[in-house]
Order: sequence, then structure tokens, then C-alpha cells
Amino acid sequence: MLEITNLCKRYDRFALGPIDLRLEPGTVHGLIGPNGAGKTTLFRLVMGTVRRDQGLITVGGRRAQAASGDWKQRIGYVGDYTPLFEHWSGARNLDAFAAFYDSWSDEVAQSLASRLELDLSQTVRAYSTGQRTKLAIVRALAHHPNLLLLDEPASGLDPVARETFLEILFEQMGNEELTVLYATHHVSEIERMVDRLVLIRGGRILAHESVDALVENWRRITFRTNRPIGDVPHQVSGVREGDDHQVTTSSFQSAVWYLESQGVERIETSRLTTEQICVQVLRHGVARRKGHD
Amino acid sequence: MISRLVRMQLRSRLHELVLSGGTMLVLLVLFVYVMWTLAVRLAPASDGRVDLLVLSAGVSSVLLAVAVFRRHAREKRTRLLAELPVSTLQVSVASWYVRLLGLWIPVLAYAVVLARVADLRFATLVSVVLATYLGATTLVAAMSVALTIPHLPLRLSAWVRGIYLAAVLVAVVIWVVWSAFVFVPAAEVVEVAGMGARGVAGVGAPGLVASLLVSAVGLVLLDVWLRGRADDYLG
Repeated sequence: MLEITNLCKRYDRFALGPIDLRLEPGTVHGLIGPNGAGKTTLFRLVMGTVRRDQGLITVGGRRAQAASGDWKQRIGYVGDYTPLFEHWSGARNLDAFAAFYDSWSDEVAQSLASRLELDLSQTVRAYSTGQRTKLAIVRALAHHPNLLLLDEPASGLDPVARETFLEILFEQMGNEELTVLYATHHVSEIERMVDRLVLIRGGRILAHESVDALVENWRRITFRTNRPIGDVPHQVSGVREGDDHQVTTSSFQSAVWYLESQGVERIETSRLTTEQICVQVLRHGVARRKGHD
Repeated sequence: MISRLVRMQLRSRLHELVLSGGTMLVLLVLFVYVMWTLAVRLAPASDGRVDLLVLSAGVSSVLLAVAVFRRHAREKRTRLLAELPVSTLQVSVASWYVRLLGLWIPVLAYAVVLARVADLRFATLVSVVLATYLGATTLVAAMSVALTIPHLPLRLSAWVRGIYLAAVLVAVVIWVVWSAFVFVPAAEVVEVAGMGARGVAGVGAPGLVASLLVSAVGLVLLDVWLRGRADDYLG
């Protein structure tokens, strides 16, 4: 559904890329990264609101280019800021947007607004941040998108609205063609719905792996030995207190085999939560080997 | 798509003007009232037309520039349009369509005042209206280009931008002075600016209108072309 090849964007103090990313139809991806990692820039590049320096973006087989806006027909986008016609009501804003989408459904828009408890008759100028986000969500979903780009969509929503939004999103995922890229700082928010995680830092993608694989492979290993053992394979971080060692590895099986081959006994492994894994990846990287602290 | 964009922008701007354009409207009414009073008082004396022409052209241009380039509103509108499934070119063309349409309002208002009080021949009045319209378009386009330049991938230093802005201001001054020279009797020009002005005035209204047409069309096309190459979406 979304294919990004060798995408680069350079600013004075920040550079994104080169980014290569492929999202298959019907999959849900969480985009996780610290502030300033390039998440919003990535979304803007896909939406064409920022010009890329190089690279290729295709959405549903359509190439993203300034000369045509067709590729955005089936994209639903909730950005970090929601530009709207301030003097118009929510309903009038939606009417204006509807004219540009081939597959817009007023019924869907009304239904979503009703579920999100959004008063469409109110002037947008009087909307709170959360209400603006709700309108952006309605706009993003009312034209039956095949690609949903969500840039921290729940950040301005109250707990009830956030829950309703996530319910709506779950329902939308019933559409087998819908691909979602969901950026957030709260892993727990998306943990139960995403297939894969895209971890980004400093404008580069550090990992794009399935949640199951991450949880399976990333382990914290504790063991006791007084012999020097060197770096454990795929060790990401480690702590040593006397003979007690605790290392985090992105491939626990290789690590365990290695430790066993070194004659280490009483090796204990424990799983990490998805959030802990994300923190480890973003803090230390994936393939980075690190000695004992 | 362009017609939808034009309709959407027209509706939004009209709505905006009606609801929150109160200050702008008051300024506009005040301006017309002052112009009217000034014109009526100066009507018997033919040399009052010079002041009238220069003042009205200048104030109109400033008002237009302020109205068109309220930066915050422009940025919001730009980001809104950027998210729609339309191309940069379509948005640029639609935006210019709306601007060019909007520019007629103050120009025609000015023409009505001028027609009522000034003793100009119909042909001259048409030339004045055309020159004012094209001059205002030139000014708006020049400012738009100036605002687009910082968004180009090629980073220009501050002094290059300063030179460009200075050139725009000089061009506007030349335009206003030239307008005065062209549309007033030669004897008054000599009185005002000395013998050297005869050469400029000799080009006449058609020459002025033609040159303004070239500058307006040229700058509008340049603006559309630059927006297509800007770093950010600037439809």
C-alpha cells in the first residue's frame, strides 16, 4: 500500500533518511520515536506537504508527485495540527472537504461525529483542541481511506473519546485493505492493534519488525560468573555487579548459546514489555554491541 | 478541481470578511470617505488629481497588500489546502484566480469615486483603472514571490532577499510616479518634476498599461512557478 524508497529530506539542523519502508495492505504499523525523530516529517513527506530532496513514494501504486494530487484520494490523515476553516461550522468544513473526495460518505461522517460526541453545528473557532482532533478524525475516515496516517491522534482527546476512537479504529481494521501507520509516544496505546513497529530516531529507521518477533527475541538475561566472557551476542545493554551480570539482548537464543558455550550456568531469561523494548532500541539501537557497564 | 478550490476559497474568504473583516471594512469605508471628501474639495482645481491619483493608488495597494498577505491566515489556508487531493499547480492557479477576482473590488470602488469627481475622459478613466489593477497585481505578485523565496530549496542569504525587497519597493515607487506623469497634463508634470519628466510622460497611458501588464503577468507566472518548487507546500 505504501512504499517508500531512498527517501531523504535535509533541513539546516535535521536530516531525515535515507528511509526505505514498505507497508503491505491490511497491516497496522506503530511509528515510535522520540521528539524530533522525524515522525511528523515522514508523514508530511508522504502527504506531499513538504517537498522531498530525493526518493520515491508510492501509495496504492500511485506515485506521489506535486503535479498530481490523486495519490491522496485514499489517504486519511490526522496530523499534529488540524488546519480548518475557522469561521465555518464543523459540518460546513466537512461539506467543503467532501467535494474533493470521490468516495466521501456523509453518512459515515455523521455517524463518526455522533460516536465521538462532536457537535458539528458549532463554529470551528470555538472548538477545543480535542474537538478539532475529532473533526480531523472524521475527515480522515469519511472517505474510506486505504491508508491511514495518524500522527499522535489521541494526544488531545479525553479518555472517553480516546477509547471511542480506538474502538472506531479497530472496526476500521476489519477492512482488509486498510493500512495504518500510527505515530505515538505511548506504546501501550497501540500495542494491542499493531502488527509491526517502526522505530525511528535521528531521522533514520532503526527497526521495522513485528511485535511478536520483538517480544520473542528481546530478553533480559541474568547470570552469575567470575570469568571474563566478553560481549554477549546481540547485547544491547548490560549491568555488572561483582559476579552478577544482567544483559539485554535482541537475540536471546544466540546469547544463551554463547553463554552456555562459555560454561556459564544458571542462566535466567525474562521477557521485556513492548514499551521496554522500544526504549532499549531507541536508546541503544538494535545491532549495537556494548560491553559491560 | 480548480473550480472547486476557487468556490471553496471564495466562500471562505467572503464568510471571513463578513464575520471578522469588520476592521478591514471600517478602514475601507473610511478610506473611500476620505477620498471622496478630498476629491470633492479638490475637484475645481485640476492639479488636485495628481494627489488623488497617487494617494488612492498608494493607499489601495497598501490595503490590498495587508488584506492579501495576512501571514497567519495564509499559512493556515496553505496547510489546509495542502492536505487535499489536489496538485500544487491547481492550488496556485485557484489562489491566483481568487486574488485577481478580489483585486477588482477596491479598484472598481476607486474607479467609481474617480469617475464621479474627476474630470477625466472615459478613455483615460479606463486606462487609470487598468493601470491601477495591473499595478496592484504587480505589487501583490512581487510580495508573493518575496514570501516564496525563503521556502525554496536553494537557501538565499538575507542580503539577497533584502535586495529583492528593495527592488520591489523601488519598482512600486516608479510605478506610482510614472502613473502620475502619464495621467496628468504635461504642464503639471513639468511643474512637479522638472523638464526631465517629459520623456517618461511621452510613453503615455498605453505604454504604462502595457508595461504593467507585462510585469503583472510575468510576476504571477514566476510566483506560480516558484511555488511549484518550494520546499513547503505553498499552494
